[in-house]
Amino acid sequence: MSENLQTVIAKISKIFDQFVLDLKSMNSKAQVLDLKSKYIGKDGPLTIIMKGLKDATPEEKREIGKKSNECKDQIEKMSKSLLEELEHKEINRSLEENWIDISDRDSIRAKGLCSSGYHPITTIQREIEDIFISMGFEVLDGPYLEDDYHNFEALNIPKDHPARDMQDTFWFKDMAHLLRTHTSTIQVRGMENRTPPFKFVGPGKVFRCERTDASHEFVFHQIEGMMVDKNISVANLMYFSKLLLSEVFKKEVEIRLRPGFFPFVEPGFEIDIRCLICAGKGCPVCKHSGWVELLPCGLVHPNVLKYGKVDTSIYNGFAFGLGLDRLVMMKYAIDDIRLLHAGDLRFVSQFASI
Amino acid sequence: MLISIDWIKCFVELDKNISKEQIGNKVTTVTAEVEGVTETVSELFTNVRVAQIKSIRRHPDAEKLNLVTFSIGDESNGDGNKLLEVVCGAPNVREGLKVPYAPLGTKFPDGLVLEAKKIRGIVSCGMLCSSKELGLSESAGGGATSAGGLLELREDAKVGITFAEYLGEESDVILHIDNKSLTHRPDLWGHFGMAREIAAMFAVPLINRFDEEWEKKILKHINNNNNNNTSSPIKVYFEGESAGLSYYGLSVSGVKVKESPQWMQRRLTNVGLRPINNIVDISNYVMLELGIPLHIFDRDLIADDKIVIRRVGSNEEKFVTLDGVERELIASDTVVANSKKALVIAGIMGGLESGVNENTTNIFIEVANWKAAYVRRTSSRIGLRTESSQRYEKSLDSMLLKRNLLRALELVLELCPEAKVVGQIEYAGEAGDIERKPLIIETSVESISKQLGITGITQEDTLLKQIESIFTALEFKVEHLNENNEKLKVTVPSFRATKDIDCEAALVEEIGRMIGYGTIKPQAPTSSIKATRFSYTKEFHRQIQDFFVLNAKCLEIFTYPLVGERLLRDALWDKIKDESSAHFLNQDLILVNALSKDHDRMRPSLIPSILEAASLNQKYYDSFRFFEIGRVFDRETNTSFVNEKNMLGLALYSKKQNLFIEAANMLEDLFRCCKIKVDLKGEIPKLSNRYIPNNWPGKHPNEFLNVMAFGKIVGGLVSVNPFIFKNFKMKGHLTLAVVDLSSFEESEGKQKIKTNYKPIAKYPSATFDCTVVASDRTYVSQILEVVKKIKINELVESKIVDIFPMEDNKKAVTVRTVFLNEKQTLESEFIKSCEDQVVATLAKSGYPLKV
Repeated sequence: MSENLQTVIAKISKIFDQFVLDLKSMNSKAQVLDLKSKYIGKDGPLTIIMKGLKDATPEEKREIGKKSNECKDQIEKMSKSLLEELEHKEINRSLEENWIDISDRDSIRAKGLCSSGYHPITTIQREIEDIFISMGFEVLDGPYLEDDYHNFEALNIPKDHPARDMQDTFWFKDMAHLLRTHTSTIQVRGMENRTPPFKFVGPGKVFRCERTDASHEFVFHQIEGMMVDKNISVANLMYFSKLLLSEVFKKEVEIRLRPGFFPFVEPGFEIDIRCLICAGKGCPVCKHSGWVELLPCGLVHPNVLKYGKVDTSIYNGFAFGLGLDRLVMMKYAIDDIRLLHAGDLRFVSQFASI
Repeated sequence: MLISIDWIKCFVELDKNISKEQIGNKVTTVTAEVEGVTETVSELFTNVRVAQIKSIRRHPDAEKLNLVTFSIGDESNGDGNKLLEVVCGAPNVREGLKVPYAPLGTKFPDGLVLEAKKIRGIVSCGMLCSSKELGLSESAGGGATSAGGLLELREDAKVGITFAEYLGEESDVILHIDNKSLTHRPDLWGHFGMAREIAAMFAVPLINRFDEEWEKKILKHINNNNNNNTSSPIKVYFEGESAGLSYYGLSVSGVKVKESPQWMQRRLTNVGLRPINNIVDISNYVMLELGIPLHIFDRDLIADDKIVIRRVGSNEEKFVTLDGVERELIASDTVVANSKKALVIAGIMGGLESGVNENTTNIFIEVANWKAAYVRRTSSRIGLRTESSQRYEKSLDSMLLKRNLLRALELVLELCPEAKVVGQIEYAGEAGDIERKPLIIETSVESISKQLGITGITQEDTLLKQIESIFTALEFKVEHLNENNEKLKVTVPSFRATKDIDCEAALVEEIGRMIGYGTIKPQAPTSSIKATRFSYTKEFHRQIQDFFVLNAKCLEIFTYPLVGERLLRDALWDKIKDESSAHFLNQDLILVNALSKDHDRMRPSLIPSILEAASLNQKYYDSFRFFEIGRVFDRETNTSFVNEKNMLGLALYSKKQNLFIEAANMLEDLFRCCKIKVDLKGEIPKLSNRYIPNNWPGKHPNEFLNVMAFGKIVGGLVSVNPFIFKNFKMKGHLTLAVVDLSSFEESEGKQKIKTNYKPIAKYPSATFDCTVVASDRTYVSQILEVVKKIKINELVESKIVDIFPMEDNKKAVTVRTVFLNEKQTLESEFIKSCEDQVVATLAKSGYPLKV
């Protein structure tokens, strides 16, 4: 061998050092590729060294080959790493050029109204429907325009009954048709095509010919409930109403039960809750009484069941009606019921969430 | 109705410790809603007491202040004869002087609440008051003087009494009861009836001063007075069927009309009635006491010897009531008349001509009962609701009429001792009206406790005792039907049997409310379990709402289902004229008693409501989108009164942009999400769209699409013609859609598109884009239609890729077609032949390839 082993090894080391030095000044992918092939290509210094090992002993060849391969791998590795680095820089540079303002979102733009959401009555109505369907109640509906029979007679309110005064009724010219004054009409319609036992609720709009103000509106919403089975008691009704109210308000609410007169229930009562707007101190929503009438209810009057062709010797039932508008008003602290039908997006957009 | 607790206390001895709030709450929770509890004398006067100064010494740290020791008596003061001390700066303070004393906590008219505080180091336990501090004028105060400083009270004033007592003003607590909650309780429209309830709820006895003894005493007076058997100057008769049930009349002579005594005036005033004169006041007083109205005539003005109860005669259509108003009567109304003319509208109001006046000396007292429905009908028709009609329409008890008459007589004799009864009590009535059989209802302890849901909570025998005592207090008679006292036979008192109590459930209510609903423990029912789900309609509505809220950035609104003619005219809805034009304004769905002209009829369409809401909101927003699921109504139906349908309404508004295409995309998306096959199609020659009629001037000439489902038109999408905007003071671009949901609802979801999985294509497809030229007013969908009609099985998709304008009113349209065979790879020659066919077909249809 013309040179001794150590000299060749040192040469390789030197080549590598030179590569590292050269690599530092590279700033494009092409340069790196060029440099790489210059060092480890066919005519590179390492190839030349390897070719000049004709006279070396196998042992020397092995030593030098090992060193040379190590050096090659290093060069390969370092080039690749720099190449990646340069590529990343290049992409980022072009991304940087396509800069966008990530704060320029619809929410800060004067683009008009972009929010979406359910009407607050829908939200609460769905919630209540869901509660009831989870307890096995069907959800029924009925027409707004009703006849005397469904709104009054079948609910034990015969003609000339003073209870008709309780519901300021909108009548049509024929004086036989009217706008339903309560969702109790759904009770009548529900019984018409069911055989006991059954249980259902019926939400919907109702109409009363009442002067309007912040807490009175001529169209509002109720949900009617009815359960007919054997041995239904006041205690059962209380169970459901308590369950309902605690589900709706998701907290313990203070309630009060008192007798209430509704011709279609006997006994009839009224469940009041402590006003959630003023905490009982008195405000327009609770008519300054601290209590809000929420749930008129009772055991279904036998006459009503008879109209519904229910055998009262076997079955009885309970019924209740819940005003949705008051619930919504309390839930969101709304101080004017007339906003609900106003079609005003300044109002509805406030409930723009699911 | 106003209830005076002072009056109630004539019949019930209530524990002094029961506060007025407690009474109010108890009445609310047991009987009827109390809307308010007030006092007739201010709280200040009942808090302030008469004090007597015992000794005075100078304040150690203040020259002008004294420490005054005084007494507020020993009886009424629970602390015994304790002496109190206050710091006082009044110059007229002296030993023995009687002055008003306000204890700590007193609230003064100026809002100040007296609190314990130190005055120059010494705590004053209240205040001795001047007249000014009590809100009195200098001269007021019941003979008291106020010479510079403390109000000096009369020397004979009793120490310890309240200032109200000192002034002779008795404070009365007034319950304001919601009339609606008394609808079913005719017996509670007087104080005596309410007293029975209050006695029962507080479990104290009712003091019945109108018992048989009392009745006998007064009847005896009538008989004694009448020992020479003078006949009654006025006899009463029923003539034919009328509102009359029973009628009692009594003649009294020699009354003197004057002011009523103070006590009576005060009672009437306290419950909201204006005292007029002793005779009129008596009739009001008895009505408020016993709950049954009565009428007192000036007998000389009856000018006849008979009173006839009958229907209105043919010449009596006009009648002037006491209030001076002329009323129109009809033949079915009932009047109280002499032999010639009507004197009173039965059960509602007396006539102007025969009423008591200041010169009246002879009277005729009428106590009658009328059929509730008749009174109600007449009173609603003539629009006159009186204290009297309000009571009669609840169904009063004829058995109590006589008591009413005797009570009126008792008061007449008390207030006019010189008055004399003439003749006997006269009566006329429908056969059997005052001999009705008592109403008996059977029940059992078990049944009551089952219905209330208190089984197992209270021992049965304890419950039986409870039930018995409640019924007894309410004057129901309870008898046992079997040995173990299980079955009960309950006799309903006549005054509860007229309408109120009619079945066993009503008895359950009596027990429930008296026991207190608050004491019943909630209990889950035991019932079978059935799977329930929403109806398709409900589910469909929810899907629509979800789509618009979650996918389409829309807000849900509610608008009134009632509209007015003005809105319909503003929306130019009246301009729609075709074969069914008569109904577009819904003239036959107008309410008789609408609250306002703006909401007097059912809406025929959602469109006017949408326009109104859009007009409101464009004032505040540059763009918005909203939807509503609302009902519309029309009478174009033979089978029922009205056709009531759920409609979807949608509105997209922008100040600057046309949102028609966006709205159309939205509708297509909606129905795809709901899995319903719906097509949007332009004008269809022979079909008219009833939702957006052709001749509605609000319709845009081009931007309109029919919504088609089940082969019929179920709605429409339209940009609103700006022509209509001036009526709504709006500008911009408004696109709206209405869709009739009823056709979908009726199908109950059966029309839903079924989803079937198809294996994913194994072979590659070939895509071919070609650009053709069309005139710029060509619908690109028409170009696609041409391609879609090409009969190549492998043509699986055709879409528009791009559109760009060209010169000479032309545009270039790039059409993409996709070819695929699911069983094999397409050969290039075949692909080429397909492409050629596409190009040729387009060219043949007038869309040549762009070169």
